[in-house]
Amino acid sequence: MNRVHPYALRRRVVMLTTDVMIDRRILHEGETLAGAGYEVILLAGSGAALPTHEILGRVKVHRVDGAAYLRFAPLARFGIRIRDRVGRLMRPPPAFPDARASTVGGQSRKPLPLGRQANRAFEARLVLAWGLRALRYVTAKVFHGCVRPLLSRVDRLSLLERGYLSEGLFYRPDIIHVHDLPMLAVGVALKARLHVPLVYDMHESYPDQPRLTPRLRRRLRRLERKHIGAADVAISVNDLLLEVIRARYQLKRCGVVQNAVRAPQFDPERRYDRFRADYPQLQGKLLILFQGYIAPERNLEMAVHAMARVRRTDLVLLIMGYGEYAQTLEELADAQGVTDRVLLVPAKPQDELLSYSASADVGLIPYSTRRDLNTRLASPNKLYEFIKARLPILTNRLPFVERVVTQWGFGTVADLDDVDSFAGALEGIERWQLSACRERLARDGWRFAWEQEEAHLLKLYEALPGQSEPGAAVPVTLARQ
Amino acid sequence: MAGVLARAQRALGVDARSYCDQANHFQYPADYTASSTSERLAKALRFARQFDVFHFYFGRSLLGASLLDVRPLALLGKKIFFHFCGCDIRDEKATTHTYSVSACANCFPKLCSPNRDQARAAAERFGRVNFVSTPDLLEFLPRAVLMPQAVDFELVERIMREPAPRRDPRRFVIVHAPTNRQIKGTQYLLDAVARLQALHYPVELSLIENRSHADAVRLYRAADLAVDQLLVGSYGQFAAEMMALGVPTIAYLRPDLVSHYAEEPPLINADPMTLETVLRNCLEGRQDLGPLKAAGPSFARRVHHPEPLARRCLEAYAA
Repeated sequence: MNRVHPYALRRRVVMLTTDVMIDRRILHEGETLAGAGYEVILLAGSGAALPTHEILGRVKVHRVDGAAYLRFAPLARFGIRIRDRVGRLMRPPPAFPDARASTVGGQSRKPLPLGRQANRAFEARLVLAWGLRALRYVTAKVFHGCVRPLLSRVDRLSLLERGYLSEGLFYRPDIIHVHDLPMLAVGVALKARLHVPLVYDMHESYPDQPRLTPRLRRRLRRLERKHIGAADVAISVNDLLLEVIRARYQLKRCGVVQNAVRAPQFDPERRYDRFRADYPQLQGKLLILFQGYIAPERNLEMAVHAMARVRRTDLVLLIMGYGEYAQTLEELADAQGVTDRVLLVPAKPQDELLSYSASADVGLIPYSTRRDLNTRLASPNKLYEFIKARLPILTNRLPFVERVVTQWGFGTVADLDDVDSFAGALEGIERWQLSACRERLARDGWRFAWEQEEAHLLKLYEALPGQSEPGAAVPVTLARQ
Repeated sequence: MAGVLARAQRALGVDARSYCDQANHFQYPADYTASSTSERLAKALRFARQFDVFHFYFGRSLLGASLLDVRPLALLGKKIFFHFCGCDIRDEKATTHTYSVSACANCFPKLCSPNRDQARAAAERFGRVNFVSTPDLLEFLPRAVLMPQAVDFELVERIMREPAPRRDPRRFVIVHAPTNRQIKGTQYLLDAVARLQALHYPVELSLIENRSHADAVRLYRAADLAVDQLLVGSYGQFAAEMMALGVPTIAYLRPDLVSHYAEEPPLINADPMTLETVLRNCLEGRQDLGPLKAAGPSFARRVHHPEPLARRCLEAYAA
């Protein structure tokens, strides 16, 4: 959709993400920056049925097609093989061989054989081994000293990353905004070429994801440690997670932009009852809602077990979202005999989501506190969705969520890692308490709206190097209307 | 345009030929064309021997966008001239960030020539004189010279001799012929016309796309008003042809660019924000279109006729 720009655009921000279905946070940030006069171009992952170029709101989205860069794959593979061979040679040289610790013919040292002849043969092999090691030592020294400084100028990017780099260079950004670790190396390479500020936006602590193998986790942490220093500002989703990351990497310039919701089309004053309209059997029931990605790490099986222990018949647990784990939960509910009180609801589109959230009576955040760092210190999207929808919250003792819920009286905190405690928390829900929570949500919920967070984002941008140059900060207003 | 200029230069006694190395859907005439890589290579070798002056358009040379032959040609002592017409040289980022109304702000995916920087560097290094066809491009190439678009007056005159097309006096026909809708600001025109139609103005929009150049010019004649580009800030080939045909034309002329023209073009100035008002003024008769109809052909003949343009080119070649 074409728009009349009432002023010349300030600066160009190129955002980088591997997302195919673009995260709401990215679009919110893009929209905020566009509203402040920046031109925002988002380089995102490509999908089969998705257009290469589209404009979402005011964000220009260019999907980088990895396949296009794989045309030269055989050549690139050959290049990578050569590079790796050279890389192996370029490893720091080993300490000069010590006879006492030597191995011969790739085997560990054996007791000296008896007899002069045998000793002579052993000595010859030992001299040969030392000779080879010395040769390797000298070669490595030469490569390390001479060739490596030359080759270090070649960055180690994958083909897809090269695609992002190439497109990023084409757009000549004034600011690079990287979303999550997979794009950080590209962002750093772009910064090195264009000498522009780099914003590193951590939607979570990427190397601490529970599904990663320990080896991959270590590798990603090394990668993050290597590149994060190049970022002019690092952004996290909450202060607790930021403290952990800041301590880990000794970050200096960082800030928080929470995952708040921007939903101008949603009217929180209106009464919504969409679940009961869609499922008439829910009339007169108290609806406990979980929404979002349905996965094992969400502690939902505990919620189903707890429902089996709840004696109240007016409670219904709604699990609304997407994910293959839904099937497992359905089978579990069947095995526990609670299919009448546990209902799996298909995911809703983003523009309808809040109206469904507002149709429930309690929003549930059951994530376990005994899992990984990201889960423990989570500030999940659903927290902000529930607040926006003015839905009282029942949450596990997740430090950040607990602080929000208790400080502002938005709901109840309980130990949801224990099935009896979980069942007790569900049993204890009182309707009068819920209406008090709703009042507090109506009064103080604005503190967790996107309108608050966008101010933080713009403040971080204004503090970037070069942003206070004369003429750069103020949009040129149009005299003629 | 190259074909028209080459023909005019031949008429002035110079052995000038035009060469198009890729198909153009407007079917602009060219003396030579090439359809395969081997043919392009063979022609490049032949032309390098045959000609003394090379006048390259759109940041491309005999070997296309690679510009690999420019340096060898220069080394052979050939005179090289570059002629830029828009997205082949326009710095979209500078445009977007400097001007409140610009084609580049709306252009996505970006249509800039991928070899723009390379072409600019080649032009600065090897171009004896570099021409631009519209004044908005002057800022992107130091020492560039404005060489306005050449209108094919042979075609215009031939079409003007044909019987006039039938017109419905109750309808007000606006013609618009975008090569690219985003750059020309077509959406603003569509919106403005839709709003006027909703207000029961007897306005009709004739969008001409994907036609050969000769067919398109024939259709332009039937219009009461033409709308050229609304975002670029200077007028294009379409407006030049419309002026030659005597059809009053709207285009967005950026105030700082008007002084680059030898004389003020007889156009109605409108940008996306003022377009609807300007159209309404034309429909209601508040804007007198008569003087524009009369002034257009003489202006086009003075500024866009191939003969003076060819003469200027030859002077540059000889310098």
